[in-house]
Amino acid sequence: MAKKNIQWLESLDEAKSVAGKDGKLIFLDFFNPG
Amino acid sequence: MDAVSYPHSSVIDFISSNLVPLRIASDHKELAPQFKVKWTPLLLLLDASGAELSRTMGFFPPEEFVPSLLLGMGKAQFDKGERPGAIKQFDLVLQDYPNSSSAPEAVYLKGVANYIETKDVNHLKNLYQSLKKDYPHSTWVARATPYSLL
Repeated sequence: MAKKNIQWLESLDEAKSVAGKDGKLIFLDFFNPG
Repeated sequence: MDAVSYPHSSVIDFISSNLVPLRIASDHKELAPQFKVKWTPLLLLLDASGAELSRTMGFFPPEEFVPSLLLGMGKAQFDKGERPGAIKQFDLVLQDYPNSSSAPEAVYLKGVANYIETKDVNHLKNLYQSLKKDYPHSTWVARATPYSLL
């Protein structure tokens, strides 16, 4: 079943840790904070 | 992206299953200069060390977004010399999103990857013929034109 939202991380260090553990690439969206 | 593509179920499913999603404000004091952020949306694929593998700029509608990510993942593997894995990603683009703007480049790179793996020149000839037949208006036809002379 589809998740309702993308579960974004907000820390590059955390993303690197998860990516290393899960064997995935990081998808980084630089967004305009407005 | 927030209003159209990120809420789309296919995008949520693909990113959640295949990637580690990270959002950083474009005015981040450390990371914006590090990644040379000049405009948004700016979308990057990084490896687990944080090294940049690919980047795209601008909006993607949902039907173009997933194939663009698959293509980027395939190109990242291609650049690392992991050609069998790259070919699988290019095949997914072509099987599931043959009408996307990512498809012609996937045809090209799949043919090149297969040629490097096998040294069979027919992969280069065939990629040109496929592009000419299926994507005649793509710039990738011109890029593959030399292979028509093999």
